[in-house]
Amino acid sequence: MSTRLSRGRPAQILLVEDNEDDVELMRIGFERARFAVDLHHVPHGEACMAFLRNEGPYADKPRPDLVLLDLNMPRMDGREVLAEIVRDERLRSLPVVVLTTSDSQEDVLASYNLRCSSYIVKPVDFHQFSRVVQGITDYWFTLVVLP
Amino acid sequence: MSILVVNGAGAIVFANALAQQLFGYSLTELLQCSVDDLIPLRFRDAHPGLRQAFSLAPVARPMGTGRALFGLRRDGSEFPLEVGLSPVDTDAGRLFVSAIIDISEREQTKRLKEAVEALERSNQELQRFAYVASHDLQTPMRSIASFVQLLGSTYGDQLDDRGRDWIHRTVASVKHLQAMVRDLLDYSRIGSDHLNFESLAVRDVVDDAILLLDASIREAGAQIVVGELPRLLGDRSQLLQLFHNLIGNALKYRGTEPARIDVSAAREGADWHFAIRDNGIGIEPRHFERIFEMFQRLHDQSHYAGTGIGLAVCRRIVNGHGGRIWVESPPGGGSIFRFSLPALSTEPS
Repeated sequence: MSTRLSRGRPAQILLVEDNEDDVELMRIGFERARFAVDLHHVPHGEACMAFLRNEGPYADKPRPDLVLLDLNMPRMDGREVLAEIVRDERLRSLPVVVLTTSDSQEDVLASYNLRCSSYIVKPVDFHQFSRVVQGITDYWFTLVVLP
Repeated sequence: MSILVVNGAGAIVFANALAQQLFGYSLTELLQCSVDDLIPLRFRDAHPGLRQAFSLAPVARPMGTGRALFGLRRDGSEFPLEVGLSPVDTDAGRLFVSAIIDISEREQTKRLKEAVEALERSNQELQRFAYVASHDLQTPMRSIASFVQLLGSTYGDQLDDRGRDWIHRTVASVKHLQAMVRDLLDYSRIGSDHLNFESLAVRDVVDDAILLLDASIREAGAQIVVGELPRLLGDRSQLLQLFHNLIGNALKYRGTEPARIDVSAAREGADWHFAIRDNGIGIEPRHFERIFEMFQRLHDQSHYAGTGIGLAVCRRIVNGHGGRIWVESPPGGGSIFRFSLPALSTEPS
């Protein structure tokens, strides 16, 4: 039995990630976390904004409960996405967790200055990946109250 | 400003005191010279022609508009100069007034500025390179480690011991590679341009390092004794890394006895000398220098895992703070890592 959000539906997560391997690892991680999640994926910031605004092919997509955002991506990177979300009053309340390979202080600071909800450095192997995914579901879908 | 007045034939008819000083001649000597004598030999042949061309079409030429020119002093040395020329018609015929300034200093400042700018550019490029290299290298390494682990955890029971051993070896190698890239990135980040100096109590930094090493200290059953430590100017995060690496090494290379580590400081002239003394396996004197070099290791991975970057990082941090680092082997065994850091200047020595 997998756990669900208290409203009885699977949690909606939007993963913004250009690396297919990381997408696959997240997918497996959430599968094994035994928490009911619909994992939506877009490969860069432009698609992310279209998804959040239900534009084009994303017209029918649900509003995510949580966005997992990579920083370094083609076309529109994670920093631009954060800036855009803060500017948009309909999106401002959305929790965005930065999930990136970079552990540089500048990226951490810049992301929090752009009001990201948390900053996670991507784990180096799958065991840690599983722990991170477990941590995300425990914290965001059972502990905190989401908007 | 040096002034030389020259007639149509190039003979000097007047030179002010500054001009005499600049070229190193007396007035009497200058009045017997042609202006061509004040020009380095390699330009001299062309000069009469240029002079004639100017006297045929004499337009006032303001300073700084001509090409780079050089003067020749009496002692044979050359200097870069700038010259402004104005024709003046007098009873004695047409004369040419040349105002000359020595621009060696300006040229030198310009060259220095260019060199500094080039260095800054290459530094920025290096930092950028390190960031990109580490980021772009980490990504495929994460994929290799993760998918091979998944292979092991999902299909491991369909393999025999040998197959599982190979998976184990692959994961261990990738993790070592990951550690090396991470340490290299740390090393590249210790540029002196990132230093953030503050007045700090070294004791606080050492306490933080001990806290970070808590798990290793328990595992080693180590006793750490910290003596009285001074306040000084330093970059907190770099000094934390310094003590973390040195105390961490003392724990890692411990001997068979329970580890005991002493951290102390003593005033030596304008510096504080710090010592981290352990009762570990020690280091042979012939390795004293090379252990501070990049990638230099004394042990293989199976005995002591490591990347060979930790002490290179320590040396870079200490040097960046204006100190030096070295190691000693005390007679009773173990090692003493020592490093110096400048004391606060207001303190009496």
